[in-house]
Amino acid sequence: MSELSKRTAKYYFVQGIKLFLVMLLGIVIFGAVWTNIYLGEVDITDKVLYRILSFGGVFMIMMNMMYSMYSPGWYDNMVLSMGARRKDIFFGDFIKQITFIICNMLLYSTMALAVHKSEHIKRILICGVFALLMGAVGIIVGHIIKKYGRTTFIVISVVCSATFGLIMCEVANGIHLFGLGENKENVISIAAVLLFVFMEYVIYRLNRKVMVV
Amino acid sequence: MSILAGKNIVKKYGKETVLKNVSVEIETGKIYGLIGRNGAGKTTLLSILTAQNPATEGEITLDGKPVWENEESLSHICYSREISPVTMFGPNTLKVKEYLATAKAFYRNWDEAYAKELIKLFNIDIKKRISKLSKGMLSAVTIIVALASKADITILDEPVAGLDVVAREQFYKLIIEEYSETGRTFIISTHIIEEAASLFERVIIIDNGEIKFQENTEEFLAKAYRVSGDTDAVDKATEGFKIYHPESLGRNKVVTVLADKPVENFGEDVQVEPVSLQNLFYAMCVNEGREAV
Repeated sequence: MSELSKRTAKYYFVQGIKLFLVMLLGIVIFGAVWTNIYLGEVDITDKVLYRILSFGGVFMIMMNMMYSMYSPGWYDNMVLSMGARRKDIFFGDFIKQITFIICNMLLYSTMALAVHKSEHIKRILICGVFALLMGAVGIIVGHIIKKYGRTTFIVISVVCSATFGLIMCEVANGIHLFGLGENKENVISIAAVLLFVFMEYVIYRLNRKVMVV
Repeated sequence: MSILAGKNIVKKYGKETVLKNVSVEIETGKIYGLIGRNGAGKTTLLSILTAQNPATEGEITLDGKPVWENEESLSHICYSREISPVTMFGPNTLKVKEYLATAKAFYRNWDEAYAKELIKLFNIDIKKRISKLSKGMLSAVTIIVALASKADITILDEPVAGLDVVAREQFYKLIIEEYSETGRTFIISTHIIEEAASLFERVIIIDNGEIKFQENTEEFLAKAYRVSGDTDAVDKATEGFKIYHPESLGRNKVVTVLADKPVENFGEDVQVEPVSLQNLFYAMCVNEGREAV
């Protein structure tokens, strides 16, 4: 690994950690709100932690997508103007997302184990996979916004929100949209990974000729 | 001596051709001035030379090795440009110290002590967000990045935009000091030609996507003259020379002449004065020149 590649990777790793800390602050705030809501109840700890675990996975997906959307026009554009290579930026974006997602997954898994709710861990893993996928979607959207402007953002956000909502409905219990039966979580997770790989290929192609604006 | 060379560069945005078969050679150890009108292609050329923008056609090399995605070549270059104004999130939401920390992470020869010295000199509050800085302060930040990068080839695109006269003089002094101490190559694109002209060892003039001139500044100006006098006398004296911006005032006429080589004598019937780089550039831009017969 070259010196520049190492510096780029380190930079994006640090950005991933910083984004996780921002996310952590958000979780602490929500935790404080739920604690206030359930104050006085006997099983307050269980209820608050259940809320955090339920909400945290979706929050992680949403935040990773949002942060990724800013990448082409913000972080990537800035480091490209400072001599970074496009190839390293491509891997850097992935490093940033993986760092963010793994930190979140470790946090929620630790919480789940601490309160003996290990059944949440599978759900957290699936949310991690979807966070990666939506991160890739975010980067592609970011490239489109960078090239075509914010007018497209509104159209794309409506389409993405609807798609995201459909996927979340399928992941949530009790709603069967695709008739996949008991294996729906596994099938959708595998589909998400395949879609993620395809999107990373699209991002690689988009990234190759990107310019500083 | 290294050479940053761009050969037969063409850049198209859709159907519009912004750079038309441009070839340029930058020798290290010199200070270059890149001048041209708004929309001439200066920023596009600089961003292509530094691999920040892909060329449609053409080749950019540093010592014969391609610059594009080449770590070794990129490590010698710093192109410090104005931070893009993004209204909804972007680099301008960062604090100055965060922006400089990013520069430190990517420029391998970054001089932190020098950066701190420059921050103090320009009186920048590094805890302030970039979006809250004045235009002059923003220019100062880009100057700090350029100088503290200690890159062998440092490019500044309109670095003095928004700077007051004191800050501009400080900047010119810093460039001269840095050049004297390190021999770094500077390429400065500017519209304030009169002030910066004395810095430029070589000048590159670009117009409408084409390089018009790239020469040693002193030798270039040695061939430029302002000839004035009686209309007939001026026309006779300048016959066969490329003239720009002819102005008639009654029976008198003033023209700017750019010869192929220094002229010893235009004749006794006309007055001849040297021309500054700014006045020469202005004359070239205002009217189409008459080609030499």
